Amino acid sequence: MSIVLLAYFDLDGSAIVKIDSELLLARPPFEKRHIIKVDETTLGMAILRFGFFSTEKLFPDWEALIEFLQAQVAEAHKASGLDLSKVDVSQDIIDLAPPEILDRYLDRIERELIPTRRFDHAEAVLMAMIKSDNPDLIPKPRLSRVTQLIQALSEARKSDPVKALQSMADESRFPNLTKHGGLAKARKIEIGIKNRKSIFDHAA
Amino acid sequence: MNLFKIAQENAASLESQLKLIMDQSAPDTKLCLEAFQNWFLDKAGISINMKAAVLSIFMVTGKHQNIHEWAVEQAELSGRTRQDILREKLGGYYDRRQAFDYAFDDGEGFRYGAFNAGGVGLSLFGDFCIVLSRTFMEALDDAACLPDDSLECCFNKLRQFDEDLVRRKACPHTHRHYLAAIKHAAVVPQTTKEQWGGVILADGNYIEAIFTAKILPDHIAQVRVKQDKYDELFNLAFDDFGRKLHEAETAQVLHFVQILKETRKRSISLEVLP
Repeated sequence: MSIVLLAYFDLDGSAIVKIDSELLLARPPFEKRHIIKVDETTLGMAILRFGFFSTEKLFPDWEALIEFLQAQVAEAHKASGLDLSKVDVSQDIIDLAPPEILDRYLDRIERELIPTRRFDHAEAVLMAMIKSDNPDLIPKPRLSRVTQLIQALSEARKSDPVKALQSMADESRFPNLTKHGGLAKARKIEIGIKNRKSIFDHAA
Repeated sequence: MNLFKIAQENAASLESQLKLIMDQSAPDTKLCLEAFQNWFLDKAGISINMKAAVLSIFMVTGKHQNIHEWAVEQAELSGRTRQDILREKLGGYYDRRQAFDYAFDDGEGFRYGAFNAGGVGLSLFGDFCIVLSRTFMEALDDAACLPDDSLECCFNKLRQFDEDLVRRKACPHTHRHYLAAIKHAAVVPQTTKEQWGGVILADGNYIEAIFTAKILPDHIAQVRVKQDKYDELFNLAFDDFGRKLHEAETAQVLHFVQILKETRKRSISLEVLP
């Protein structure tokens, strides 16, 4: 099977390809559900209206194609002075998330991350919530839930047979913070929160 | 050839066409078409679908480029000619683009939108749909409408640009509700008012707005996005806390964050639609 790349958009990696006689639109993150059949008119519209680059490159498989598209995205951003490998907007997402998204994130921490021992992932989200100035994190029910999940995470880490060994030192309970030297900063924030009678008061 | 003048000259013909339809319609159909015209004038704004990256860059830099403006910039950066750059980018579609844009005075300055009364527009390629403010729309001096995509409806079966088709189809902005009623005269009486938004704009079927005024972020009245895309972007952002995202994923999250920031900063409503 060979894949003919007919059009691509360099800023996001979207592509229209031809496999046998079928035209497919593939969009990042390139999972099956992001690949749909399209027709010639759609191909024309992508190029004429939506800034796709016309091309006719051949690829032996999806892996090679996706590698090329990822490189195009990185290159297009680099040309505007932006190194995507250094981009970190995780704190921004928490700061900007509306209440229903914050609740969904907390649900996922409780139902997916802690039960499957993805502790670092859970911790990173919760720490971003603590540091955030998002006003939707202030209401008591949501704030209480954040602190309850921090406690649940801490308990889960302690009781996890593998992780328990790494948790002997207090600092290692939050490896992401320790690694990046942010523990002191987090403690400072904790004191600040205590003083404004918020998050850790609820946990007490 | 001036597209806007051609459109203006076609106003009387559009009025006659609609009068003929009305004269041949039953009284309730006539009433329905009149209501549809009023609804169109009241609710339909000009929308443009954009990819997250394009909208993010537009909102951050304040710069919205059409393909010719982009080519001019690339030519300045690379030293290549603008035509070479366009030919390379458009490939086999170069002739069609040039045939339309170069047929008209200031065709290289044209901007294209679609009339929209509530949905996310042509979202297949542009997940984010911006709706331009009514103030901006009403202040447009040079604006014309066509009943479909200009790069389809102004070309004959041999894919050649056809000036006669333009002269028959172009409509001045002031008569956009006439064009909408003529185009949808058969469907409107069979649909409810709630369905009219879907009648005037569905993927591949829309009324095109062409204008030359530059657009700025302040002209955006609303940004719309489908719920599933909005959720997907927030889910990707959640994943970002636990694993290293690939370049294309990082870019998506980055541009989404910029859109969230800019809409908030500029008090532009971000509407998430089912």
